[in-house]
Amino acid sequence: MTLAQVPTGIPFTILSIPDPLVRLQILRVGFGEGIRAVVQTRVPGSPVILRRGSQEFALGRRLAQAIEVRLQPQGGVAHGRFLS
Amino acid sequence: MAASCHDLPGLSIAAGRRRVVLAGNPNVGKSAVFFALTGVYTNVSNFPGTTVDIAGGRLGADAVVDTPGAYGLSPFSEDERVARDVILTADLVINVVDATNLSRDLFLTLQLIDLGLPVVIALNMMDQAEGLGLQVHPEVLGRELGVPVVPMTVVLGRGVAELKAAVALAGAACGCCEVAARAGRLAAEEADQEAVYTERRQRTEALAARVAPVVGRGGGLAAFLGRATVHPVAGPLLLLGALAVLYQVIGVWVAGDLVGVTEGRLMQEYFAPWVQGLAQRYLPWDWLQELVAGEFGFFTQTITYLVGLLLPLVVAFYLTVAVLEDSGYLPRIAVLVDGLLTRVGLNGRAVIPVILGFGCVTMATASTRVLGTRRERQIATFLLALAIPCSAQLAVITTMVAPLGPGWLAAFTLIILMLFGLVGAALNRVLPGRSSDLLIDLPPLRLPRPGNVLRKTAQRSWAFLAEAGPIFAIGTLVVAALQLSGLLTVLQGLLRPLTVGWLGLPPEAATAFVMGFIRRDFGAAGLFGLDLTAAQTLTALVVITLFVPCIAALMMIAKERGRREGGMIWLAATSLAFVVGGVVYRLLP
Repeated sequence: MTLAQVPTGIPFTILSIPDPLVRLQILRVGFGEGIRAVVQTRVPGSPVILRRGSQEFALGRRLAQAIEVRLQPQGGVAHGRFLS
Repeated sequence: MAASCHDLPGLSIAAGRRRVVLAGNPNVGKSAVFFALTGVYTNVSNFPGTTVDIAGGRLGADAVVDTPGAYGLSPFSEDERVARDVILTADLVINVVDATNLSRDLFLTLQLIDLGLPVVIALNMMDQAEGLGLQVHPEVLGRELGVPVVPMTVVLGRGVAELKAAVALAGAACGCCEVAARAGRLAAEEADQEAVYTERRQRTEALAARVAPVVGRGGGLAAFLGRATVHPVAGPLLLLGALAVLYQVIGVWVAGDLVGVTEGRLMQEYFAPWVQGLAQRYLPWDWLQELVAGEFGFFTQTITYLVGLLLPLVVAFYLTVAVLEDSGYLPRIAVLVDGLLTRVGLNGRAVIPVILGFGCVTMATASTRVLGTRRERQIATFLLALAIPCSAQLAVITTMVAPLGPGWLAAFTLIILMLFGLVGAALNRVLPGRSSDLLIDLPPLRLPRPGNVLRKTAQRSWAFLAEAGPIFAIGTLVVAALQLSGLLTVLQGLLRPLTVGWLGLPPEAATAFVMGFIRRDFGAAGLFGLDLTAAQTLTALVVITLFVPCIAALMMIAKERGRREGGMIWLAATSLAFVVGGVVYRLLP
């Protein structure tokens, strides 16, 4: 599913970001493929707000529609070096 | 890349001085650190073609240079290109890092170190980290990276002395000698950017996890408000509330009362007569006296306008933007309006030029530099010129439409909004390329810090007035010349058939329109004196709002977009103004 479709509050992992420029920019600020985050706010037609720890980030809706994600089941724990 | 190493545009750094450059993400307190180190911002120079200001100052024997906030050193935006160009020439880099945002900020830190730059880390906002329940270990960071780390909270003055000491102790590399090597490493990185960035992101995560192992939860009032401001229902309501407050403060107090004093009394009663007296005494010819100090005199007009009218407004609007920025509310407003703005080919970022546009369209046009793509700058510039009424305009609109009743005001607003939407959508369809999407950080909401806010306001107001001053001066000179030569009257004569026949307005309206181009409030004053029916008032106001605002705005547009595009914008806006005016006139009862 795309980032634009993710319901609020459910952790997800970004799978792919097609636009290379956008991918680089998102990587730089701490979100990126493999990083786990939560959708904070989702309003139709409006930007999607992601939260990761104490950091919040807003992405335009068109951008969110192009980003592929996978939901992490609520009870799942992400091991490894990435913060959630 | 920087052409000559020793000369940064606008700042001249004497050979032999160590060049200390500040680097860091946006919103980490970099300029506060700069101010704390240098005491007074000496040179603030505008990097050519950008909103980007680089500030230069002194700390002891060193030259300190501030750069725009950047998430990294790759040329994704003008800000970053400027930052990169300056940083690559540094003898020493002070990397300001937000302790509450390590996984974001340390990316740049690692990049700086990877490029071989000598770095001192100013780990700022330690107080906020504490407040959020984070446990940050500066000594771990220092050990892992092998560079000095100074924990700080610059707005409270903590850590400043330690930072100065660390800077004094740090060695002096020769930045200019190293530029080529550093640029080479950067180029190598960019050739394989994806892989390098992914790897660096992984290292950043690992490092951040070791430096601040406990990730605290932000709670409390700030977080609650943070959520409320972007809530689909509460958000817009809060925004309307904020706008109401702004209207009262700026619209009524500043634009009304304060300008009444500065322009009305100070300028008209004291300054102008004084200058006229001087001109009459010292200048030989009558026409020269007129040109310099007459009613449209170059000197009287320019100073009156700049100091009496523009200065209070510019300061008020920049103050507003600074407060909105510093409190963290501005990006949330961008989120709220992004949906609407994307329909006209812009995105949430364009909220800045729009807000400034209600103050002065010339100021707003200069600020379109913050927009991501050329296409957005074009669209924003056109829409500003066409449909955003500046303060002078708004004052007139309200005085003339208010007595007609709410129905007419609504009609006026609707017409202008519709045009904004239709023209914007059309431009979006027609212009080639794609506009950028919103991609912004939402910092936590907090009370704006007065020092920060005042400093930014002063800096930006000064930069704008310094840039626009000559523009206004030239504009008034042109107008004074036109008036003296009688060309103004000729122009008004030419326009008359159009205003009477097509727009159904009295012939004097032509005069008002031409005057309106010179100074928007003159045009309004001209209209005010005429006896117009409600329908005529609406028509006239629509026309005068849609024209390109004033000669100064036109010149700024030409400066930003070039003369050809500027000319096209002017032509298009003027034609639209008259066409729509005529249509409105014919549609009204």
